[in-house]
Amino acid sequence: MLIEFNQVRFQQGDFILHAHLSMPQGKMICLLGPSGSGKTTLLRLLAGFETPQQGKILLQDRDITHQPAWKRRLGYLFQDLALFPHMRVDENICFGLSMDNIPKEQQKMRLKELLTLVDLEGYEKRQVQQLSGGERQRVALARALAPNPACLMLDEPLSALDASVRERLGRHIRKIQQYQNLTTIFVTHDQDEAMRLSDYIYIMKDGEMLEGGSPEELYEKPVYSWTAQFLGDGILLPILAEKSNKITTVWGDFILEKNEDIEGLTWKKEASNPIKKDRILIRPQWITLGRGNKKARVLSREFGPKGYRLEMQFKDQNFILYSQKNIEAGQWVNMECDKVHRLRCL
Amino acid sequence: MNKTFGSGLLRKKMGLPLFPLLLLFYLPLFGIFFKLFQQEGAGAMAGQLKELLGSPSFLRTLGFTISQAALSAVFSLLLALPGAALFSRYDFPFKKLILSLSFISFILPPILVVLAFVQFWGNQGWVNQFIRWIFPQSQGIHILYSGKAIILAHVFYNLPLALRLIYDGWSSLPHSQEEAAYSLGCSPLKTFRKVIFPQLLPSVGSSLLLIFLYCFLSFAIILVLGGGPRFSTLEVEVYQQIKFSNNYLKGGMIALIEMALGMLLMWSYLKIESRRTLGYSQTLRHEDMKPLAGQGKWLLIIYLLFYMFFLAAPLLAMISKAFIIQRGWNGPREFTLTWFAALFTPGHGMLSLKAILTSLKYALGSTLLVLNISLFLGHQMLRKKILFPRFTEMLILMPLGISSVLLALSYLRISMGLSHNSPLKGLLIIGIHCIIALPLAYRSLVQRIHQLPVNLTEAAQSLGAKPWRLFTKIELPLLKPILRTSALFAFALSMGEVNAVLILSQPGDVTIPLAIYRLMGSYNFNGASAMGTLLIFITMAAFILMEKRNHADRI
Repeated sequence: MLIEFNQVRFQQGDFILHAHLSMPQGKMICLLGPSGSGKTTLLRLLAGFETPQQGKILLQDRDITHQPAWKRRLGYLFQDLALFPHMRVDENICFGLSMDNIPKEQQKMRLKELLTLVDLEGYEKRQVQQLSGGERQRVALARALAPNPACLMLDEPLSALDASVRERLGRHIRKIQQYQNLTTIFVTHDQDEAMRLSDYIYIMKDGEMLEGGSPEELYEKPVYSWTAQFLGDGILLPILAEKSNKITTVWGDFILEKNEDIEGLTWKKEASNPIKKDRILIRPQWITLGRGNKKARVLSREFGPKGYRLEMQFKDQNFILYSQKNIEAGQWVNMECDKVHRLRCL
Repeated sequence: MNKTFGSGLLRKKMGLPLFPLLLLFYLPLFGIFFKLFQQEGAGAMAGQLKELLGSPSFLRTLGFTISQAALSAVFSLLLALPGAALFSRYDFPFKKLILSLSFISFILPPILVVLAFVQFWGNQGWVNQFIRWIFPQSQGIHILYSGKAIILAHVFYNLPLALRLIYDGWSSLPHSQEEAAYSLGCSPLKTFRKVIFPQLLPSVGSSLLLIFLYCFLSFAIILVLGGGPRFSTLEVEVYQQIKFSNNYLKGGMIALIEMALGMLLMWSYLKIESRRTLGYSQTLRHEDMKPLAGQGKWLLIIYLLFYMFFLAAPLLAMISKAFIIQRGWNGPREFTLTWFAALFTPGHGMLSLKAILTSLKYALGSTLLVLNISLFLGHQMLRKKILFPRFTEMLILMPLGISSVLLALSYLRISMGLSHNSPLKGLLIIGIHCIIALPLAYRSLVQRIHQLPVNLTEAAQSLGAKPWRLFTKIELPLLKPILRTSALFAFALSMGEVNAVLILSQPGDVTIPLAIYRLMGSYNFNGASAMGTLLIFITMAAFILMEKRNHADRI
């Protein structure tokens, strides 16, 4: 493992962060969670801007817990970019190289390489104030990449950009990460962005690491109901009875898949989060309309890029489905659930 | 082009924006030089100028004026830098209060600083008493009545101002820049040198120039603490030549040189200021501030102890002198209110009561005038049809670069044309006090107007508010806090101003600072301290009142 947080505890005022996790080499890892969940704090601990009160942070098995930030040499892209306004583009990008006393000629070569990488050839002599938001973002990225850091940290790097630039730049960052095989940790509260860009996602809530996995795993088989709801639309039905892999709910009985072993996926400490009442998850994609014996009513219908967005009701439970068929509001439709997933309540 | 907030009354034509300044500042100033020109002629003036520039004693005075101002500015800055670093990084109790001490430079009259310094650094002052208590054989330190005393007093005066200005600049730099430098391998010292300091340069430059300017034009501190001709400055020289030697030609030409240099400094200051405001304008978010802990905590405590010792201790020494009586040379010291009572007993007392009333009269008058004129100027300047707005603004701020002594001397000429008991004489002092406070009051008001969101007036206009209603219902209520601050500033400045009063007052007239000056002149330091304590009390009461009202408005 490249990075390990070993029983780390950090407290600032009322906020407490616990972290015990490891991050593999060469992957795009996302810290996802709502505001105030501790994502940025975790990144700042790794960068050395904050020091934990307990635990250890290891980088390639080396303890860096108390090493000052300027000796860690980990790239960091700030939310506000933190470009030095009194320096030109080239001076900003070469700043880290000049800290290493790299000869000017080599600095120039690296500058050229990076400007090509971020599509900013010919921008070297510009003042940073003259650049657009997306261009500044790329300068900041080039600056963070310049000293070849062991790991790159991105703190909500795309949050200030408009939608089209955001998507384009996101893909650009992903390509660079894959091209350089660079371990990249990025913080976001945008679920779509996290799932689109990352190899691995850690879900954070109230200073705790809730669970982690690949985007597909977390979307389809989350451990906790909170994660399931946070990651997208879904129907959560309380479990009324459970026998072997057969589960009874208000919607009827469901048979769980054989490999639905939630014990193996448990991340949270059971003592601090006792199981209240477990639920099953049904994602909208798992429901097929026009089949089966469950009759649901269409309450309203809207057209959008994903097709028709139907607000439906079945046994007092309202839920959203997407359909390519135009079904009028007020109609009754047959439906069938192809798949369900058992959740722990949190 | 940026839209400005002032859109109500401002769009109406309100006459020449510079009219009040022309009347109160430019005409009297022009008058004094015109009269000189009429009496002496251009040849004599040129000859005097040439003689001055070739005179070793004048060049020595000029050299001392510049060097004391430069040293005072540099020392103020050096002592303020560590404080600004700590203040912009850490959050701690009373931070706002300590920062608001920057007002000291404006509201504490120089004569009071002199008095406090005598009580603290003087031969019988606290510092020497402490040294003699530790080392009974020691002679103590002799700082007063020297160049060192002047610089020390100027640093005392300007340290809070420097701290405030640099803190403002530093705290507007996002903390992430510092962290970005760390993440790129830059050590804290290198980060300061390569990332922070280059961006602080406008703040550093503007505070250096402003402090230099204040010290360049300083009067009472030089006059009393300098202790003789060796430490005379241009300002004192002008006063001596005109008031005592009746040499109007020489005094006038020194004043002209001083005025030219002052205006040059002022112009440079305004240039830097405009660059400073063009830079980063975001203020530090609260979450960027670190809670006080570790090494920073101790550094901050040490700095605050130094700050309090340097600033509060001399004032405490002066206040304690007002409450202590010593029976005999080596007798016991006792608490007393005798010195205050003496101020109000017949003979002495009527003079002091009169001083308080006269001071209040001048202060209230000039405060009203400052508020009205600065509002008028602010609105005029924000109108779109002002010709050469930058130049006009410079003309409004120019009184900052002119000494109050020169201004008072220009008013003296008008005063001499009035009858002995003319009530207009009081108005002249009010006029001078107004013109001294006006540039800063105007500047803070205009800055505030620029910060107000444009959409508020637009919303009011869309709801049918006409210019006058817009002004009274939207603009004025939003400007209330800054107007109160300006009022306090003008009030305190007038309460403590001594230069103009010293020059323009008739033998019977007396104000609080003038009474302090006279009591000090007669070596009645206890009486002077009691009077100084009263002055601090009145100013503090005004300050607390303003803070309370502003706080109530914020709620």
